[in-house]
Amino acid sequence: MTTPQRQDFILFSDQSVMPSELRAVTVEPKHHLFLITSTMATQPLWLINALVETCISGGPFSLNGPSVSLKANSNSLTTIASLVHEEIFYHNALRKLKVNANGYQILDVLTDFVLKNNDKPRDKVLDELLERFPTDVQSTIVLEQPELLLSLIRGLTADELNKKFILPLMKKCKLLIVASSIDLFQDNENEPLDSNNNDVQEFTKFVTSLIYNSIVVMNLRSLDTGRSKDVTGSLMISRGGQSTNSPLSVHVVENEYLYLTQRDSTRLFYR
Amino acid sequence: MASSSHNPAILFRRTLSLADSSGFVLCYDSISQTSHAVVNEVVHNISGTMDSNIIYIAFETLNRPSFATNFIDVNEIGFSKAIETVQSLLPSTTPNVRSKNLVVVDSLNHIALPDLPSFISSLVAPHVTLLATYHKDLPEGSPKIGLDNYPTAETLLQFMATSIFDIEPLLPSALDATELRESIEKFHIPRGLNKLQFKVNFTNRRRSGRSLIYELLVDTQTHTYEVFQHNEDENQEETPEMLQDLTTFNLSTSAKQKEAKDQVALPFLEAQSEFAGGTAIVYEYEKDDDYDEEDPYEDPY
Amino acid sequence: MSFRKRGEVLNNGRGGSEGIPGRTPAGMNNANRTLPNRGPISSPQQSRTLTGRMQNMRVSGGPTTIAPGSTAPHSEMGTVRDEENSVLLNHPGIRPSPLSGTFVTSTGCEDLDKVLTHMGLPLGHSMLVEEEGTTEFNSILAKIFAAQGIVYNRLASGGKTTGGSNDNGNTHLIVLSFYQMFAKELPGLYKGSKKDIKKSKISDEQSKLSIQNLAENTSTPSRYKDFKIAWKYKLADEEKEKLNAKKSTNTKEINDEYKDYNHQFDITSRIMPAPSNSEISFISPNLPISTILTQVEQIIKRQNNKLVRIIIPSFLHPAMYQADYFSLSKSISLIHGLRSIVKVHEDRCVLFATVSTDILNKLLRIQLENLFDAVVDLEPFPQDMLQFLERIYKSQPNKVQHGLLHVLKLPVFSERGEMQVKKSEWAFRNGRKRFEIDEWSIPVDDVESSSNAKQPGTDDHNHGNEGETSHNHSNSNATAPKNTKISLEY
Repeated sequence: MTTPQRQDFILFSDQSVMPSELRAVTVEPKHHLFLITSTMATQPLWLINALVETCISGGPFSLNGPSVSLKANSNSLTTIASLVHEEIFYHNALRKLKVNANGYQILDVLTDFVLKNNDKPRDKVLDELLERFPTDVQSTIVLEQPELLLSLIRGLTADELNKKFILPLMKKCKLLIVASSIDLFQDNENEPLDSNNNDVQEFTKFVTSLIYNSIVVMNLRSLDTGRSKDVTGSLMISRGGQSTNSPLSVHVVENEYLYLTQRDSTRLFYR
Repeated sequence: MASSSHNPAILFRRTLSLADSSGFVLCYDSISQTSHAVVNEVVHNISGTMDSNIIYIAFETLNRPSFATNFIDVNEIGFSKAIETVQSLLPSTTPNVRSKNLVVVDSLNHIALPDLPSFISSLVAPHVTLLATYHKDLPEGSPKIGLDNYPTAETLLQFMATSIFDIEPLLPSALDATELRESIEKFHIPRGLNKLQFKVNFTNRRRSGRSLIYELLVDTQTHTYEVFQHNEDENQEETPEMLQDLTTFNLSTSAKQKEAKDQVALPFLEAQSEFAGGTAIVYEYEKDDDYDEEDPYEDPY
Repeated sequence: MSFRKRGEVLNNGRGGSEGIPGRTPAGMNNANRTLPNRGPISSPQQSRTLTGRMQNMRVSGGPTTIAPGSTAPHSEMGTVRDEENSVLLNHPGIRPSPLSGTFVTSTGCEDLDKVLTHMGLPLGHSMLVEEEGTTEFNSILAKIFAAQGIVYNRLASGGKTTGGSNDNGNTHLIVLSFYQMFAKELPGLYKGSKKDIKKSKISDEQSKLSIQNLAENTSTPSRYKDFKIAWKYKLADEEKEKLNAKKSTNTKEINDEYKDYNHQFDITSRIMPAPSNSEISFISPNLPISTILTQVEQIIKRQNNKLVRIIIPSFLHPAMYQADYFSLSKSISLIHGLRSIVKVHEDRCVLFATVSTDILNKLLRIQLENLFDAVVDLEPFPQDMLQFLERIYKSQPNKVQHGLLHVLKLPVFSERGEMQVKKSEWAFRNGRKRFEIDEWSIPVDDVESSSNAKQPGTDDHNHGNEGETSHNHSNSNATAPKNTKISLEY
């Protein structure tokens, strides 16, 4: 079998992952959201890395291979915050890609989060968490699994999480990239989801709101046919709820890739 | 359609350009087709006519739209303050005001159910049109105690609205309606949604008391609206007449034959669905497979 | 390829046979990845950074090459390093993963270690075993996991004492349960029957011989001469050898080096003497979450130079956990907190939990799975399937498997983005002396064998027939000839 041809990862009609408009300084600050949805079987580390790499080095070289035409965005900081992975996890992953360590900082929201915040009022937890993020309207923030806060903070609703955390966080930066797990909504044939369950409704509501707020949705999932040696899964790029309301002059290029992740490298290709 | 002397497309354009002073225009939308395109279309339709005052009440939107005369970020100033601000920006109810006032609300889902009717009635006035979006697919959450018999937000809004745009996407070519719904339920957003062309189920409540429903195909790129034609070609069945007089052979099937044919379960139908075409069957030797390499008739490759 | 150099030293250190260099273990020939070598590593700082995922930091410089003569036994190496690391680096229950280079520890079940592909659970990682239905296979795995920890600890405290720390052990268990009998119910080591002991001695001898005679491997085995089709056997042998070179030889070598890594447990026996408080700490789950987390943290700090194995047997079992545990903010917070602790102490801490999925709804189950690095799901066969298997494997009762094992997540690989879900690829079988996991394949229900099974009395009449049919089917099914044989003898 011949190996299929490698495809470049692009999100927008100008053949870029991040159009220059997204990096340009504007008079009135604009805020955008990219959403990554994934499952346990197809975790998004490589995609997050490629996006971070694009923010810092100028292009997703780990996916597309090196290119000289792209310019690095030197003056803005990228912040990565995760509720499931510790600091060193991202450090190691980005170091392997040779991403300039001065271009990003990592906020560890995993370590001692419960110990420090158990029994605090909800608003206080969210406020304090928000405080930890720098305010820089040119910057990018990557946030992994914010929906975990719905489990970790007692009584928190999707509405509160959205209004008191996600939207204010978007205002702190130019681009917020949220990676969210959607395992809950898969395989409902065998084990239907109880849609009357309050918690389930909050999770549904949260993901739906994220899609409404996003320009682009990147969905990672495994093939319906199961595991295969030469395909890890599919990456579907589709327009988000804000795509028809975006102030950007470029539009999202909808696409479906197959990808193969082996060891530390990922390759995109078409069916 | 015969019951109405109106051309639905013209009626729709009138509503979009706020020609009828219709008080409360409700947009039902979903993640598969959001209402922004409709809002933009309304703005497009009124921009040429008169000077207009557009107030945007944002619960979700962070980026101020270019058309908004005033942009009110509710999260920043709080709900009650936001209503006060809007009131102050609207003209007092004097009958000789000529300008059009449009209040856009980016989604009513964020307003608590008991506050919803008062919010709407406080904004609707002569010369003011309320264009509000309600997301159909956000679960409403459990009602507060004491409101057990209160109608749901959706019923309430439907009851109060003078015009309703129920926005639906055009089906992506690869999917049918059920597949699309299932796919969205899994949050697998297929390609081909949130386009600039979409379908609107348009409910128009007339002053006469009648309520008319039309299905319209809206193209916001060319700004054209037409009555939605259900695609009948696809549903067209093969009729025996089509096969008549083609040859001397009998090509038609009897009803009984057809029934038998439909019942035949095609092999590997499941397997074919994933990679349509371009696949090979890969044989992988397993532990208990019994493969004799000297047997010429037992070649799995 | 600094790697190959170290590979040589490894073998030289073990009395150096020449056959090994050039044979690289599968998955190891990645130049970027350093093989964490417990034995000869140079500086103390170096050895620190090598633990866990830390080894991914750029340590692959020059210093990892070994000075000549550093092939000294491990006990001597210990003196070079500071105390804390010496215990962990010479820990019998810690070895490098053959695939990713991270350090791993055994789950106590050799086959489960293999299913995890790392030959164990990587340090700093957590694992969840789920079980469908009301069976209790998961609690056996939890007990074996615990017992393995105790065995490690006793390897250190009995006999060779390492270092001058306050107590002699090298491993500590933290069990989240108020059921302290758990300690007394842990299985003891499988000693085997007298026959087994003899057999193992003989095989030991044989293996020693074969290592010595590795160079003389060219001598023709007698069966090449005995059979006309000897060339075919020879080919087959060569094939096998190649395979072995790739797979088993090296793992075997490593297995020999880590001989105290895996143990076999007899679940009908009890570990003697019963583990004491210095070996196991129990924490009741019915304390406030923050108290539980603080206690775990304190115990880990107190046991400052030991491998700490945290075990949550039958998580959310209603007899142990109050109803409010089923709210996300309680159960998920607890696991999130433990995950955080395990990651902080990633060089010497693992978490192993089991749960019955019958008591979980989909939401809770998925939220739980999300927080573990490895998840496997046991799906025991229903009664009729077991009966079916028993009928088919009538003559080989030890082939009857008890259920399927689905892999949902594998440590390191899954979080990296690889798709590692393997449903219905493995089957498990719980025996007295082993929890076996094997590749699953649907057994062939041979009509012959089933009719035999039903009417054993009529065999006499069928003799002639049977000979024929078994001839026709001779390679359709492994069980068919065997059955025939039995009936012929009968």
